[in-house]
Amino acid sequence: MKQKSEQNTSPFPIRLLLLAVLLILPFALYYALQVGHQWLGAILYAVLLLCVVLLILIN
Amino acid sequence: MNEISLNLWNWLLAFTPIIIILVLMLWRRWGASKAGGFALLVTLLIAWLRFGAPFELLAYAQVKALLLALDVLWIIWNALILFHLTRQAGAIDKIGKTLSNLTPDRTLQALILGWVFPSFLQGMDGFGIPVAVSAPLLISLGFTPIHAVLITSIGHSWAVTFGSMASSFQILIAVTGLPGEVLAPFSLLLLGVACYVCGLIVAYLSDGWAGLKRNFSAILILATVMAFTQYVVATYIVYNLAATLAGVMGLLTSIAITGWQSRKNHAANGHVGKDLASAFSSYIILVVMALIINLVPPIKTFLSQVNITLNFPEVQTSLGWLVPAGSGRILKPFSHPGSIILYASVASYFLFKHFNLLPKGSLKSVFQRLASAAEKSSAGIITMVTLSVVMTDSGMNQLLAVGLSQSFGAFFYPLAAPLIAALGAFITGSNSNANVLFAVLQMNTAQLLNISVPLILAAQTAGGALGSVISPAKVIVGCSTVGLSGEEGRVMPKILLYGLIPIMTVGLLAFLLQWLAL
Repeated sequence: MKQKSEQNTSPFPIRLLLLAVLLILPFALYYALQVGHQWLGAILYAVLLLCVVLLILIN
Repeated sequence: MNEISLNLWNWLLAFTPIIIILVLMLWRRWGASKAGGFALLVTLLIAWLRFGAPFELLAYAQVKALLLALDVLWIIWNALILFHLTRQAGAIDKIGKTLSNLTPDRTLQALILGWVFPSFLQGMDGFGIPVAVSAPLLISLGFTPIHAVLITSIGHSWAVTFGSMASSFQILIAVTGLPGEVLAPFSLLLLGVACYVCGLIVAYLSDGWAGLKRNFSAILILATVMAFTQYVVATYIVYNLAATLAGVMGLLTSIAITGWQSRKNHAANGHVGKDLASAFSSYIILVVMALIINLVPPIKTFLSQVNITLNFPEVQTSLGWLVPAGSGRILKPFSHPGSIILYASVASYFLFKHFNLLPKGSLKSVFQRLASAAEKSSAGIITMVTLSVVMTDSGMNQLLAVGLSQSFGAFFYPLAAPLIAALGAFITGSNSNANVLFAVLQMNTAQLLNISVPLILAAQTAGGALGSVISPAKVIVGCSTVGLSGEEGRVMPKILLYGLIPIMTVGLLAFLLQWLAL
């Protein structure tokens, strides 16, 4: 029962976490591009896209 | 070069994201965040591989989209706080019970809560608030969640252009460079006719043809009062308050109509005004604060001092489409409509607390409900807005509009103009954004085709207003407030069906005005 209850509640914090990443990461991406760190921007953008993929998978 | 070659292959690729959203939401019944996320990934691939969008363009589009999304999300989050706080104080139930007592007629209830009241709210704030506030009220009267979203979405659509303190109309003026006096008359005429159509649809949705026939005279009276008030206020007083005052006049007329009906039916109707005033207290606070902040220049200037924005460099695609340098959405944290709702929420909290209306733990409950509703709808809005910015910055939206305008030709263009605008609003979820995207294109096309520019621009903003409420972004907000999050696909087919009726009516009217009256 406990395991089932945890399974039922687990998507909630994941979605909230993904939302937080979608809200915060673009600002870091902007900063990376502004200071000319293209490689860092590329990594951050890849993480953002990964979050979008996760968003599709968990919904 | 700032042109992408228009051919069927390019046009179909540019249209693919919209097709994907429609297929996934209408056929596969996916929720908006899932469909939006999938369509975003496909759009990024098309923008990169076919439209030559470089990494910088796509990355900056993500940041621009976040600024736009935050502009909307800040309002939605605070509207949810105000709504749940008001519900905790028992005011929402009281409004439902008071209006049930006001009239037992299901159609008249729908007309007041699904057409007049959300139109009034649209005048003040918009951005999904009319549906977020009114749909749960309809549910408390026994309407199904789907019907509540449908009725309130269609009901307030006519008030979008001059709602939100006329922000969409101000954008139309800004991007076209034409004075408001030239643009207003046709816009008000088309939206006025749409007001009648919206009222008829709301009546039909609430109780079929019987409800429509039973309340036909009430619909005519209410629509005439609201459309006429909006026309007079926007033409002779001030654009910003046109939809708000139209809604106020609509509410007063509604009370008069129900009062007259209850006398006719010998029903008790005492203390209605007092009951409603106390139940609406938090929204009365909101109206007063919005009026003060927007209409008292020293207060507006003081609160508008802090601006948050980011500057973006010029970027170009490999096909030559140029995105000029400039700032993104400017956020004014202290005078933002979302902040005004937050101020009203704080004031309402102390008011409710003073009168002991809030049970213990209600604040915690409000924030739990906010987190639950916000985490479901916010990701969907972010992905949809990002998709729209990527489409705009890679030149896909421009290609879509040019293709559509060239396909219709001069004779049929007035019919097509509101459909093009509605397409823009469908993609972006906003009348303002649709005007930013397509108003200049529509103006240039009208000049080339030698047809009335003010009429085509009126069709643009009216089509954008009516199209914005059927957009996935708005449907997500509506669904999130009535417990239908993740089930937007069930609402989309119906809202498209009924939402297209006023858009087609506006197109037909523009067509008749162009070729018969002008």
